Amino acid sequence: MAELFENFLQLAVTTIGVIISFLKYGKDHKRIDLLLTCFYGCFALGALYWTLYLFLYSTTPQVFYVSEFGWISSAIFLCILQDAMAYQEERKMKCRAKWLSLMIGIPLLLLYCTYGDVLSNLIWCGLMMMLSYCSIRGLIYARGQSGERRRRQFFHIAVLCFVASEYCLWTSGCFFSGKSVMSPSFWFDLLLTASLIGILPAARKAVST
Amino acid sequence: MTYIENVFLCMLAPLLVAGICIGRRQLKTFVFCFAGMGACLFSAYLNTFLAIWYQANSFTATVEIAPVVEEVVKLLPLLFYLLVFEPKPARIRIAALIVAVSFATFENICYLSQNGAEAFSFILFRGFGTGAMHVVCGAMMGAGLSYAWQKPWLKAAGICGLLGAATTFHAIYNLLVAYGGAVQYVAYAMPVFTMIAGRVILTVFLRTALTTEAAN
Repeated sequence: MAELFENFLQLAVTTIGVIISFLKYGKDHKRIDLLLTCFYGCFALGALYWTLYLFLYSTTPQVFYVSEFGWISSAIFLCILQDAMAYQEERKMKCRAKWLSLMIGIPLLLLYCTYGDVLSNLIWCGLMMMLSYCSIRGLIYARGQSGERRRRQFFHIAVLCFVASEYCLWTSGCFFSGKSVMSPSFWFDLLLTASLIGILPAARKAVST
Repeated sequence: MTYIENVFLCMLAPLLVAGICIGRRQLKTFVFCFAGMGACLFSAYLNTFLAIWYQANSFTATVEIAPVVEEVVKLLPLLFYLLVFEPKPARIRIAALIVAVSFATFENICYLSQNGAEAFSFILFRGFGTGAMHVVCGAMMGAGLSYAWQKPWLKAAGICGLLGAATTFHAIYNLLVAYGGAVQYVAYAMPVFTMIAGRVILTVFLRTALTTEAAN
């Protein structure tokens, strides 16, 4: 029941995200809004399939995780969104902190591979490392700026929260199998939903003039 | 047992003859028809193989394996066309639709030869449901690819995103149909409503946006 509630919540949040960013795209015709629509749209489709499966059959998919197609696509769109928002100087900037993404990501990838499918974990962790790499670099760059450029730090923080909550969710999934309110997975999934909510205003704030 | 390859040959022969008669300019249309039907044949083999490989029952094969396999295989001829011929956006949309329609037609013929065509109302619902679902997925792919292919930064991600969207849409349809009862009629209505909604959104909201972007 708790898992179903959580999935419905995630579905609702991402659907609202699709509607808002799509309406913004229809109004302003900005690439950022299109990418946000794609990000939320893909995530919402994945969540819809997962929620319907759980709601109708009281279980989760056993062989192919069809929803992962949608979720992986959404992460790819988030990567492109990050790239579209990055400044030239930001891309060339040298900082050691960005390598933290690999230092955290690679051990976690090895951990996940011992529990599950190698290919899926490689894709997911690769995407998460890419997202966190760009976010750390972008955050450090934005904090050294002023005015409009500094506002982008909120977007990078939101993406970092998204990555961190995904890592926490997967790590808790390795050690705790329950899906009840008492399980950490439930709370990390809620954290993921919260970070999904945060990405939209943060991205809007970053590009508002 | 359905001899699907025999059905394929039977469908292919008149189209092949017609394609040769009609001349080179219209041959492309027939080639996409063959590609769509061939994709359906290939995905049927692949579905069976994967179902055996994963020891999946018919429900799992329908709801989890078939959508992924069918959408991926349906994309392959389109990708070949895009990469080799680099067509104009309007042609991409038409190609995607022809592949999808011929895929759906071949699938329906195989279904009829396996299950018979006595139940008119069910066949009618299935025809509009499954047929329209493939067309919606094809239209989604075609429209999306024709847009994404003009923008280098969106090509790879666009393909992944569209494949993800089409697969999930297809899987949701299969999931609802497999549940049976009133829910399956929701599934049958879903593609037609999606098509209408997509048309409205495209005309009302996105026409200006796309025109502005094309001008830029």
